[in-house]
Amino acid sequence: MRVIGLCRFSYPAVGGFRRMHDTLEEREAYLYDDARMAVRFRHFEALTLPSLRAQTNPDFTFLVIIGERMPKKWLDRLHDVTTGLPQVRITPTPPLKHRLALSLAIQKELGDERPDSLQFRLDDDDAVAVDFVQQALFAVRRTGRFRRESPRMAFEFNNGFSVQMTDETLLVKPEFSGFLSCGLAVVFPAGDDKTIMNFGHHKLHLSMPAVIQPSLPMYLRSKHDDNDSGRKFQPKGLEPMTNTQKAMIEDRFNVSEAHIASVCADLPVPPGQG
Amino acid sequence: MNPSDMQVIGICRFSYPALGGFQVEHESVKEREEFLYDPVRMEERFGTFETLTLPPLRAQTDQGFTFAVVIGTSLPAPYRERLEALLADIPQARIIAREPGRHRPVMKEVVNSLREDRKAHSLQFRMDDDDAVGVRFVQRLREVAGDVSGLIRANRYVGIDFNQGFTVRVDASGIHAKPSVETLWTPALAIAVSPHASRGILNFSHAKLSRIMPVVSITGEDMFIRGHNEFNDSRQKDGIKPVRLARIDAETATHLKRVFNIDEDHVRDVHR
Repeated sequence: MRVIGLCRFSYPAVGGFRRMHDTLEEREAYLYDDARMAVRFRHFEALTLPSLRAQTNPDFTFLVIIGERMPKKWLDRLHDVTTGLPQVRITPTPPLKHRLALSLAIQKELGDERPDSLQFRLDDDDAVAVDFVQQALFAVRRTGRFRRESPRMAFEFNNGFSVQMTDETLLVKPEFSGFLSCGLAVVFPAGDDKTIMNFGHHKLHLSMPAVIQPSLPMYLRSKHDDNDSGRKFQPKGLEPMTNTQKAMIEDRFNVSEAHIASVCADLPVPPGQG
Repeated sequence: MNPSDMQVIGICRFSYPALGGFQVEHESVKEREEFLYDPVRMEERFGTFETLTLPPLRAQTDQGFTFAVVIGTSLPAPYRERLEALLADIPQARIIAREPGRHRPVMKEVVNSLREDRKAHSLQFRMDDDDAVGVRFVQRLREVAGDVSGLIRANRYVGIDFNQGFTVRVDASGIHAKPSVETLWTPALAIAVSPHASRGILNFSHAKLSRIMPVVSITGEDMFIRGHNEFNDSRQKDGIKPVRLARIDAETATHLKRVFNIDEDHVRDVHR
């Protein structure tokens, strides 16, 4: 079974953003603004990549969907920070509708033979636990007989944290959530012409069986000003990590204060734009 | 783990005067009993129990289950006799009378008193006296438990939630209904409970089940009827709008008869 993660990284899609722009150029100017890019890279380097680098099962592919005109300095940085992660495939994509672009990327990765696959999405400022791939595959195996009748199936790990990154640490809030895009993976049978991008994640349980598992914290979800969904979900109740949480988050997500501080020092952001 | 070894236990509170655990609070047991045993209310509860809850239990395609109906020892004799008569042809049904007590410990004791000494998990489900499950519920419950047996073996508790069915109101004119998809509603929600676990289906808050244990959610098959009526406990608070339900058409009537063994003529007869 192929395991494919999908990440949209400042990709200028047609539509699909909450902040609308009249032209592609306007959208690119917004996306590639230096201060914004610094914020995206801070989260990607301090949260997303460490959590992928430490996966206990490294047998997965991680597609990073980018625009074709990302400025060279940021494109070079993206290649730099993902070296040593053989799972990452940086995938420049022409402007298309968001879901179509991501769906095509998965289909292309699966190729003509289209084997069965476990697909997950990850925002470029979120993280999954280091055993996410392993635990999701456990769950897939433990429910194998199910799929003789229902070949598509969703797996959700609903235990995680909302987080907000500062220059040197995280503010956190433990949460349980239903059908988010992080902590969620979907199995598709061989030959299926649908992908995870064909289903709204809040409605997955209306079209396929799902297994929800709460026992282990499995995701970090960032809340900050430059968050596409941040308009709706203003951070509330986030607090400094306790020592126990620091140790647990380092252990489960490979995310540490020391690394956050070094990433942020390397990527200065003008005050008020973080 | 062979699903045919799993004991299936359903539990239904029938106007049992619990202390606490109700959404409508009463000052004393006496007050609560007066509310519960009010003749108008009892007519309505019997009406839904007889026409919605019981017909699909009689028609289960897998008859291997126990159905406990928990009542108060104070239930007036005429109601008790009427209940016994209704359950007479359901060999799986057991009437269990208890003194007023706190909801969770009493229900825990009742469920545990029904558990046989088996090595396999038990499959426990609950329903209100105006809810119903599909005629294939017990069969499908076992099938799903078999399909996720690895998950069940690895956990003390696993929720199995059939999320699709109908919201229904019945009266003398017949059945009013609308199709519903709801995650973690009580009817057609079961928990696979390890033989080594002490808690049962009524010890967990159903809406928050997926924070406590793995939950398997099944969709695409109609498996529950959720009753809505004037005395519905969860609808007693102020400011809750009535659910608008339309009279069913002939096609839906046929569907409800086939999938739930619920008969609109029977509904009309009983509510006349």
